[in-house]
Amino acid sequence: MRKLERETVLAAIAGFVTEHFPDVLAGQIERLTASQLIHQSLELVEFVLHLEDRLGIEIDINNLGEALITSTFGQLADRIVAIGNG
Amino acid sequence: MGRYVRAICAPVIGVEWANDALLEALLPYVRTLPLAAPERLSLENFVRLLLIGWRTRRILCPDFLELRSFSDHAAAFEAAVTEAVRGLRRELDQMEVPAVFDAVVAISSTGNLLPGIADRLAEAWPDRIPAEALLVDVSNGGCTSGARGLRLASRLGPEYKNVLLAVVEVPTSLTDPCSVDRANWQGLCTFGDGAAAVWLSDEPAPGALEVDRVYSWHSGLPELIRWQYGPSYYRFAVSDLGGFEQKVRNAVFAAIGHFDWERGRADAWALHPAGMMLLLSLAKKLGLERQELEPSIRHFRKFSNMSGASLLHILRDLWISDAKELRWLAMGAGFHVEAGRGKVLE
Repeated sequence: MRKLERETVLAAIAGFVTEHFPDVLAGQIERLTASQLIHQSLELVEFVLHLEDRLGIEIDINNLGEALITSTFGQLADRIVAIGNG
Repeated sequence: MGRYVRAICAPVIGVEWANDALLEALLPYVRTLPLAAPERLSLENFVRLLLIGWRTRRILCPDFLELRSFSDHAAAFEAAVTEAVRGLRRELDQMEVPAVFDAVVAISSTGNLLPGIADRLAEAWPDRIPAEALLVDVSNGGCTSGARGLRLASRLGPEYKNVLLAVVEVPTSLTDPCSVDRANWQGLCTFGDGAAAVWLSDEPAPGALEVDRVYSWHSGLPELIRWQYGPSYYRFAVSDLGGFEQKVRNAVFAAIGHFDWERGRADAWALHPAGMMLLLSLAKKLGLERQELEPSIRHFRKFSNMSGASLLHILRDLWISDAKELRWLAMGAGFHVEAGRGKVLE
């Protein structure tokens, strides 16, 4: 199985952010937390499903837990790389 | 013999609690848990994640955060059932229902009573439920209890012409804000209380919902969702919180593989609202459009997860819309998957 790279995850995150929050500058994304942008559970789930689609992995929201709202997108990318590379 | 849903009663009972109010009520308890500061902060953030955004639920136990003894919990459950039975009867009284019911099947997974809920309904409604009626309580169906009840009630023999199915679920009577277990907090933030009733008849009528097919699949995984024993009562627990959603998704997809679904026929879907992630990911796997999922999402936003009562509320919403072909799918403890389909008669 192909190794999941951090850049790939960040690109998938950026794809969601730029589509849903066009005012956010690409250079800022890695330092933002999801909770600074996403305020509804439906959007949060859509974000996770978007990552599953783009990255071809299964992500359990409970596994990410509170990191989903407390971590920066950069830190979240590290967690997802770890999940994806099992 | 055909069975026809002639009425669904889905009363709005209890007090509405929004996510922000619940979070504000829960945080003082989280902050006094016997945990090291980092673990406590982690749990607090987990609760914040579970209660993100706008969602409400109905709560039938006014003091749900102050239940400390067995008798506190059991009495809260009994009081909630009394209120739910009153609410069901009030709404049923306004509907066109038969002169008498030959059977009452009452369901709850969140508590136990003697006399049972069916007996209490008979007591509260003696003019419609005669002394010779079959009265039976069915317990421990978890989130599939409403769908299991629908299957059971629709398969009773011809001597039971008019059957009343009543579901009363009071997850908040299990509340334990002194537990450090994450699954307990997930349950607390996910569930709401609710009740529903269905009149099933052996006689068709214009606008009745014919119960066409029912399916069920027991998948094993008994530990996945279960009651755990706290110091004074039982409480919601899961065996593997980190892998819970994936295991549920996989078990549901495996179960669906055993059902002979015919794609593209249904007008409307009722999916048990176990949680937002499960709703959306299941819909994706089933090939449902967002529009088809909207009734289930709408219910979850307003009532959260009422356990077995949710599916009947969503079915009622679909039934009173223009939908003609309905499907339902529920999943829960067992691990069990229950599904069915029906059509509205012209």
